[in-house]
Amino acid sequence: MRALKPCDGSTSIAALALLLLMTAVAMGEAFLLQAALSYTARSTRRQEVEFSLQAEAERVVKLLARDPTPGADCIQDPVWEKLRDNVAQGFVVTLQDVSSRLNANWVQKDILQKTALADLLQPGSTAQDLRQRREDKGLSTDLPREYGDLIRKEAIARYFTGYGYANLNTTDEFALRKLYSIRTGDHAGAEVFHTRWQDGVTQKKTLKRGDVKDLLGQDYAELYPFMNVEPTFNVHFIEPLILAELLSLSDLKIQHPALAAQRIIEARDHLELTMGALQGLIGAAGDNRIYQYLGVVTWFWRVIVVRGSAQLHVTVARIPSDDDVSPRFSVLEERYLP
Amino acid sequence: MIFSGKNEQGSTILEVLIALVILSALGIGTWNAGAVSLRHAGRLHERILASVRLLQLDDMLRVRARRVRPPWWAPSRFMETDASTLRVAYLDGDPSKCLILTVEKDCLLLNDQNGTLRFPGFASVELSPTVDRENREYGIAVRLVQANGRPVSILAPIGGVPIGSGPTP
Repeated sequence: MRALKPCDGSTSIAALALLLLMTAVAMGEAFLLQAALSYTARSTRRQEVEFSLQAEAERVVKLLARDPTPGADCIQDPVWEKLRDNVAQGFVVTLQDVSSRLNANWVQKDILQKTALADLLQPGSTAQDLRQRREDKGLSTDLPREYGDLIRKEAIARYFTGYGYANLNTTDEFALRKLYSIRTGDHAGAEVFHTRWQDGVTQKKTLKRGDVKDLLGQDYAELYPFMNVEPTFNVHFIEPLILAELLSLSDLKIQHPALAAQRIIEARDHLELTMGALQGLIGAAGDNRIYQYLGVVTWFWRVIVVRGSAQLHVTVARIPSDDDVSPRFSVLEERYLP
Repeated sequence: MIFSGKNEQGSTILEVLIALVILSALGIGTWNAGAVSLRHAGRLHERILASVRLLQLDDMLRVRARRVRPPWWAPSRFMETDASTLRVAYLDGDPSKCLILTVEKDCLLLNDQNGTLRFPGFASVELSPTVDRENREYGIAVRLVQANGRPVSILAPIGGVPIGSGPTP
């Protein structure tokens, strides 16, 4: 038996070496598996958080769509109360009207030339510079990047927006031409439309809902609802400075504009204004162009949902309809931060 | 070698033979087990790597797709596609900046104009925009067939969708 001893040793070494090799392979696979599983787990966790944020934002959009008074949007609407329904689950929800501000893409020269709103521009910049920038570089929703050198930084955040339909009565004519060109891709057609628009405005002064189809003609499907005649600013959410300056536009000939602005601000704090009530507070006739600027409906909303360090910003647009009974919303942007 | 006696000599040889047979059987068994284990480990390794690569592709594509933010007035159809390329404008909201997906042999390339990511090892790749009921492009669809023949679909939503056109008059 002694003669076998050296063989015993070599067998043990061989077995050990094999075991070591298999252990090394197994450990390598285990590490790889662990890395893969932790990557999958991280990805799954992130997706779960994002789905929960999305579900919360969808809840708010559904509440907007189920507004019992769809003809007007105000702080007394049920959606505002229900924003805090899921605080216990860690959701903090903010709702913003993002269209009741000056649209840097559409704003007419007069608004920034003939009112105190001119102070919102950077020193040395003019309304003509803004118009020229739109012609040169096109339209944008990223206002700090595109207009930051023309409009004061703090004013961009508070008084300006890139969201809001182009009202055919109150939008800069060259901006309308630009929008036509982008939507249809027809530059020559845009020029024809520009001329048609000038004729239409000259003849009718203020275009009504029924005039939109005639004016947009064959391109209606491409241009509506981007261009329409819905009032741009919801008086329930408009900044007092913009409200007062719009009412004081000399062309509109509003009697006692400062008083009208004060009445609106006082009234909106405790009740939902209808268009009829708004006309009563302003005191101008129903066909006055001020009602192309001022209305009671918000067209673009932003829902911000925060849970822990995760954020979701959802921007939705209300699609105009003739009856105003069952508002339809379209989700435009979903931005997750960080 | 010193043999102490006939019986002992015989039994020693027998013992050696039996020991050799047992050791051989054990050796063969162990070798087989080792080989099978290594083969399985190799296959597991390949599968884990393929899954991780797929998960990475899914993540990278979704992150980049979200950076595509067409403005709300953009045309409903703004993605350009041909047999092997999908070009998606409005990367970071800029109409001149594109996210480009390209298929090269067995490879899917993802270019966001800062760099190109390569995802190799697919039997086939198909790229297309996804369109909703209102004919609006809202995402990027990638249909892959992995090297092992398994089909996989990824739908990466983009960060913004233009308003659909209104009803026709």
